[in-house]
Amino acid sequence: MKRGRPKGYSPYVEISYEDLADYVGRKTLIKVCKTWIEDLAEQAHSSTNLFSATKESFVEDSHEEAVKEEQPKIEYAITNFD
Amino acid sequence: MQSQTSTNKYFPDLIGQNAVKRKLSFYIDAFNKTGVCPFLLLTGAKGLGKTEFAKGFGKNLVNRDGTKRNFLEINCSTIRNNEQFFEQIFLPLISDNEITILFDECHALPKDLTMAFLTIFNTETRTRKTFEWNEMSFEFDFKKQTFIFATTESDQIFPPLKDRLTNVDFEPYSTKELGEILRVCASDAQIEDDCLEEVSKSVRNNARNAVMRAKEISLYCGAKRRFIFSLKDFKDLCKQVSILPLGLTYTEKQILEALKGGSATLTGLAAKLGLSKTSIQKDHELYLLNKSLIEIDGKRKITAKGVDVCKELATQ
Repeated sequence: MKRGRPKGYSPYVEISYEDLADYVGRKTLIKVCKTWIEDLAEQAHSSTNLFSATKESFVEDSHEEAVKEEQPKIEYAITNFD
Repeated sequence: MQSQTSTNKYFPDLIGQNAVKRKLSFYIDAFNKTGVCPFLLLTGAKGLGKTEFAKGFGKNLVNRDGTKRNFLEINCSTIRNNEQFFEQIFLPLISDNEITILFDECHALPKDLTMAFLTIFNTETRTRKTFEWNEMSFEFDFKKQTFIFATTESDQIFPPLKDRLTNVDFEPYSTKELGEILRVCASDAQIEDDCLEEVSKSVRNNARNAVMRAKEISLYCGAKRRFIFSLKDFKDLCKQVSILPLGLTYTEKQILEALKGGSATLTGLAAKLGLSKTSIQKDHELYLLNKSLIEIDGKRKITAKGVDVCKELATQ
């Protein structure tokens, strides 16, 4: 009886971030390797010296900012009776 | 007991809804003496005047310095979450201010804000509440801030939130009250009595429709340069702006015509008209049932009154 995966099989597929976002949206939380994202954040900010916060908080902050920027305006009207 | 004068004093421009007027007048009197008002929930069908009465109520609330309280009207379907509400509305407009807030179409409140309101409006006898959220504190002072909710779909409000609110239920307008609305809103025209009854029947028991019909009458009289609006004028107006008998819509007309050939199931009717079953049930057949033009007894059937209306439609 054959067992295991066939030769050359991989459980992963390659997909562009743009295509992935079509399925899961841009705000969905996705688990990634901590070292990888820390390295990525460091590379992006090493040239500007603006990166003083911890790498975790950078990732969290940038996520929050993205959400804040996209908040649509609530429709309201104020009436002054005086 | 409250006098009619008291209710008219607070709502001089609004016609009908006497029970609502009495209830709201009681809360206005109480507020202006104690500074406290319950959290109100205005419920009723479309076009019964919920928003107008909420504004009329807000207009009568007086701040501690004697000035009239500002009125903030929010369309709840545009609120997405707590963060957006507290940032865009609470902090700049409500916090520390004396203001009346109307949450219109409150059945559309997002879930997280509904949950927050369960805490905020669970006040028992206190008039202040501190709401802790996202490592921040938000102070609610119910002597400074009056909260009103309004919706056509009270069944869709989360029941525990509904329990915290005082319900003010709106009743349908009578033909006489709709006539009064028409007369007041079309003040630049004199609508003859027999005509007024016919016009009132065409506004589908809806005050907002009556206001719009009054505008059409004013425009008609303005264009014809006349003051008297007779039944003949109304028939002419009906032709010009396509008003059907009893204010029926063209889809309702189609339903009547489809049933004239014999009774039909909901599925059969949907197939004939090319509409979804839900759309027929929710949007079109309720008014026909209300006016006794059709009946449902397993199948949809046209009534004798419906047949008469069909004949009238055929002559148009």
